[in-house]
Amino acid sequence: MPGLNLIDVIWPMMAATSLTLAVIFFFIWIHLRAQRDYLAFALFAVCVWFYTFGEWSLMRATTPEAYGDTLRWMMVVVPIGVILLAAFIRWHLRAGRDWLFWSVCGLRLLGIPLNFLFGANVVYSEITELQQQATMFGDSIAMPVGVPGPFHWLVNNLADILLVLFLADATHSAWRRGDALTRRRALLVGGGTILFFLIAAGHATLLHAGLASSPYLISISFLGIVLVMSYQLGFDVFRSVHLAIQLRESEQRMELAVHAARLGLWEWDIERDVFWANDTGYAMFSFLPGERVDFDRFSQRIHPEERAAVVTAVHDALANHRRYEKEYRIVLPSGDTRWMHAWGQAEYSASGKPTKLLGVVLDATERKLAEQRQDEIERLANRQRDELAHLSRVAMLGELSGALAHELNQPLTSILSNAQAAQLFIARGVVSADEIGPILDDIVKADRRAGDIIRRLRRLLKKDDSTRQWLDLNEVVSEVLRLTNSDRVSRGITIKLELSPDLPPVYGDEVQLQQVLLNLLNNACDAIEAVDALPALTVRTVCEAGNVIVSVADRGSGIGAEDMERIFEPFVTTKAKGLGLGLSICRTIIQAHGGRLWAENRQDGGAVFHFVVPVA
Amino acid sequence: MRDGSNALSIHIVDDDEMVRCGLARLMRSAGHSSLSFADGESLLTHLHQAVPDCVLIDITPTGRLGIKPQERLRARLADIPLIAISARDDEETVRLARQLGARFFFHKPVDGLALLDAIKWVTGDPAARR
Repeated sequence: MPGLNLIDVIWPMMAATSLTLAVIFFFIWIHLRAQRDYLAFALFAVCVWFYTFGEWSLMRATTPEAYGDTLRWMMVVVPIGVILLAAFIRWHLRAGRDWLFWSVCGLRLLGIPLNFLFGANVVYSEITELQQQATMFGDSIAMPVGVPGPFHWLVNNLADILLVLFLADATHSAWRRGDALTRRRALLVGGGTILFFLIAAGHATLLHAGLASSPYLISISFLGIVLVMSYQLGFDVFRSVHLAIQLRESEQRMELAVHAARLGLWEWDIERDVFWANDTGYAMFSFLPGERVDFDRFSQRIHPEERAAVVTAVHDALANHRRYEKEYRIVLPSGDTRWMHAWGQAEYSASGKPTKLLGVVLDATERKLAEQRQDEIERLANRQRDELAHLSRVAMLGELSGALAHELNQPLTSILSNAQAAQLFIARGVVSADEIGPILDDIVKADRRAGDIIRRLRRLLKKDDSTRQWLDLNEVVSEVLRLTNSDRVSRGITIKLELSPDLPPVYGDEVQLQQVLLNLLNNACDAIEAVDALPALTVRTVCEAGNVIVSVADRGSGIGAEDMERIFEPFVTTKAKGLGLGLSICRTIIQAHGGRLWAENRQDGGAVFHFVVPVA
Repeated sequence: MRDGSNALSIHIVDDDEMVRCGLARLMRSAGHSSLSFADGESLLTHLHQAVPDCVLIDITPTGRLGIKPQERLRARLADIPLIAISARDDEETVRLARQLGARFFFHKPVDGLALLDAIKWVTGDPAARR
């Protein structure tokens, strides 16, 4: 045995490298059981370790028998290594055709018994002699001369061809399917494995065919494969560690945010029926830290009136794969009632059974109270507005009493004179149906007219809560015009109506809108008489861009620029009588309808008031 | 009066057709003949053709008669008995009625019998004066 030289250094080192990597990745696999490629790699590296030692001892073999025996045991390790290599690619790249994989496995496994049944081993049926070949290191290594085994081409060469096909196919499909990361993986692992394997198999084939004369140097290629694989696996491990660090950081940030937002995090393990929550969550429900909380215990905290609704919401979310969101009250042991707003999302098993419901909960008590206060303020404001509207309506009708008296006196005058005419006819003995019939007809007609006016007046004077309904604004205009018709006629004021025939209905308070119109009409009439202007008003309705616009235009003196907005302020009036509340109330009413009331001067003299009410 | 019977010719001015119709019927039931006008302008036109025994006129505050027709009316009605009727009884209306030379002022709704008595009175029927 010559002294220590490079071969005795390099081969054990290669073996040690493989074994080290095998141990490292075996331990990684123990923690990551799902990653079967780590296990395949570790076992493959063990095979390479064995094989490298085998190769080393072949070089140092002294008899053909010893050489054949060693090679026989090596040919047990090689098939296992090849199968593990294929399995690694299959698991790591998640690609490769089944039939190729199983063919490689079958042929290689077949080689193991054949190895023991025919001749020295499956490679050589007989090794006739060993030639000692000098190396450049000054010593010599053993080289076999023998007869190739009969099944060698089948279980080794054919299997190797199939393996290369399998590797190439797996690499190709992973490349085509994958993103940048998968492509890198395919190129490095698939490509590297194919390259080293082709070198190893090609070298072995040349040796066996007697076309080359050198010892087995396959372990070098195998070590190459091991290194490529471990490089990629190491990269994966590095990446997951990096991700874990990022995750931890993001969790820390999240925790900070959760804490700052006073969010309760919770998780309900449905199978074990146990709640987990963060400290905030426990505190919100007044549970002791670490206390075991199941669904029953949780639902006892919920206000009795809402318990059923919360349970229904949970079941609904679980059954219909919907997000869970619920606002409910809880009653704490101290007797306090708090509002909670909870969101959650369920997790499901592969069979579709809900396994977990996890989410957040926020104390919504402050917001709820603020909302209630806001509602209360709004209700109060609405009531005050309605009351003020009613008051100003009554005041306005008082101002209009002269006109309204006229309106009522006309039909009453007609009734009285007709009735007295009938009495006189009867007194004079004229009792013909021709004479009395039309009198009675006129009395009925006049009475109805008076009744209508009283009904309209009563509705305006009634102090009801504001009631909204769908209204045709044209109808509102007509109603108002009918109420003061004869007064306007007697004042000689004519009205030009330009009502859009197809007005969409608006949702509003009929009486209040009548009040606005009555007010605008009344103002317009006063404006005309103040300057003895052309006694003509125009009332127009149009629908524009989802709004109904009503305009009342007069030919009075118009509005001074400084008064244009001031007239809408309360207690501002240009008239001798009246409180000056009319227009300010009108504007409030229209604003409560989501609309706008404004005035402008006409180019040809006079003012025009518009109000716009949104449709729907 | 002119023919010895108590049938009179009455002119009625009111903007409301229903009122005109009722008053006209009342006149007819008392045996008078009547003509109705919607406004003072048309009355003025007609006064050229026939002079009534009495005019019943509806007074409205601003009148809408216009200043000129009002003055012409006053001039033209100077020798015709005038009875004013109004739905209002405010100062302005009453003043206007007085300016026109109304002999009576009735507030609507007007009592028919009183109105007929007033017509008799202003047309100088001796029976009524007694």
